[in-house]
Amino acid sequence: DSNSHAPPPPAKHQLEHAWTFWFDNPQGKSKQAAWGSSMRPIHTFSTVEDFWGLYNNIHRPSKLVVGADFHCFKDKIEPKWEDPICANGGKWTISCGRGKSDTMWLHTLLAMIGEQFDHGDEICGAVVSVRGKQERIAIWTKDAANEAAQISIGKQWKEFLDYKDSIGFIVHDDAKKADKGPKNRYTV
Amino acid sequence: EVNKDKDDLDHKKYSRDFLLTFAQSCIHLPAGFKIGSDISQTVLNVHAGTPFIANSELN
Repeated sequence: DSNSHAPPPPAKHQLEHAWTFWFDNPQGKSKQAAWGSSMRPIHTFSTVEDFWGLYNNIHRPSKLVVGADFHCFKDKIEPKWEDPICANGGKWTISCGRGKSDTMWLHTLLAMIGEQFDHGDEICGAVVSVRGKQERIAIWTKDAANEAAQISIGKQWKEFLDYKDSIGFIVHDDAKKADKGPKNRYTV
Repeated sequence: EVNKDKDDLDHKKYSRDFLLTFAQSCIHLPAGFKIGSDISQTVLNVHAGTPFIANSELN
């Protein structure tokens, strides 16, 4: 290591979209008052390097508190049903045991920010939800009525994660109306 | 160096393998990162600055 000339800092690799990490702990009790509405943007990134800088310092899902929701959504899209871009959408969901979602969450993020989905424009973002007995990862999409796009996203997601079980797509509107367990609109 | 999809230069596509090559080298929080102290311990790794991905090639 006798280099006498340090190379200039390399240019960062721009992503197609800027993305924002959000943290929410809707079931938090003692700290709920301090958190206010509880959903909080953490940071917006738009380069590969900044993604890793965040990812490497943020808890993996298995280390998050039970009840936490951790989101990664395209900039300017809030991870809420009420967001106008999400309002007519829905979500694909994968469930797994407690402590098992770390790799699937990372691979989901990499597929999204790397624009690996053929219908990536349909994607709003993803969320990992940590619950007592399981962890769930969901990909939110914009237009639930666009069946071809939803099916493509669901199939590709399973391929990226090498996930063999069937997964279901639930329309946000159906979830709002249903008291218990809305039915899947699509399954792959 | 850049593993972009040559057929689609309008879109910045990066494969998983390419993105993973940055995992070990980008270990510092981005410039301008701020987080409320009330949730920092809930969100941030206590060993901030350490990559999560195990890699025997680290340094």
